[in-house]
Amino acid sequence: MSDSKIVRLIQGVVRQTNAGKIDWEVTEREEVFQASFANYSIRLSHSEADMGVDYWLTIINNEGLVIESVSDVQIRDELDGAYRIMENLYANARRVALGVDKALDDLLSIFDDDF
Amino acid sequence: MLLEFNKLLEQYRVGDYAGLIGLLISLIGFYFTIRTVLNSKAASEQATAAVESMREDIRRSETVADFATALAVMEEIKRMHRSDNLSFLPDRYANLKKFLVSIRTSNSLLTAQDQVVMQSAIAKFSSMERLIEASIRNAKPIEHAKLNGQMSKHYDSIQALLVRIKNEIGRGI
Repeated sequence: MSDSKIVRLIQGVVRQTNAGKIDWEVTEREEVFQASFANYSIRLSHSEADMGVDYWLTIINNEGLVIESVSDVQIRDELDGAYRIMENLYANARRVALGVDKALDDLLSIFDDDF
Repeated sequence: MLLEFNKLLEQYRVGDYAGLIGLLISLIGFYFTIRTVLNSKAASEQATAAVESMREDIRRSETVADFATALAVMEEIKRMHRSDNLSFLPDRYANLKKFLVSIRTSNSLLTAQDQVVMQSAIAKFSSMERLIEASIRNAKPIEHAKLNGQMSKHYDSIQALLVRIKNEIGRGI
C-alpha cells in the first residue's frame, strides 16, 4: 500500500471519528482501541520511543492478520502535523471506546439539574 | 331429400352458427389450457421455492451448529485462561478463528452488521492469540480477567447471532 493511500485512510478515519460514525471499542490490551468494518479492522495504539510517544494505526484483514502498520513518524513527510493528527485521533477514539462523552453527559445532566 | 336438407341448412345458416359455436368451444378450451398451464407453472414455482426454503433452512442449521461449536470453544478457552494452562491455548484460538472465518466466508445469511460483529471477533481473537504466544515465549502470566472479559463480550454477540438465525429456521425467511 502506498503511503499516500495510508494518509488518505488516516484522514478518512479522523473525519469519521470526529463525526461520531466509528464505533471504537476497547481491546484485550490497555490503551489499544479497535474499530471493525465488514472485512477489516483498524487499531490505534501508542508506544514509547526515544523522542517521546509514537502513535500507530494498524490494519487487520478478515483472517485476523496484521497487513499494515504505520506510525506518525513514518508519515510525517506526507502529512503536515502527523503527530498532532494521530494524537487527537487516538484521544477521540479512546473517548468513544471508553464512553467518556456519554459518562460526562450523564453526569452533567445530574449536576445541571441543581441549577 | 339431400337438396332439401341443404336448403334447410342454408336457410337457417346452420353452418355459420356451427362455426361460431366451434370458435366458442375452441376459446373455452384454450382458456382452460392456459389456466392449467399457469396452475402448473405456479405449482412448479411453489415447489422450487419450497426446495430453496428447505436448502436455506439446512444452511441455517449448519450455521447454527458451527456457531454452537465456536461458542463451546470460547467457553473452553475461558476455562483455560482461568487455569493458566497456556500451552494448548494457541491451538484453541486457531481453531476458533478457523470456525469464525469459515462461517463468515461461506455464509450469505449474515447481514452487513453481522459481518462487522464477526470481523471484530476475528481481529480480537487473533490479537489475543498473539498475546498468548508472547506470554508463553516470555513465561509471563496472562491477565485472564481482561481476556475473559473480551471473550465474554464476543460470546454474547455471537450467541445473539446464533439465536437470531435459529429463530429464522422453518419460517421461510
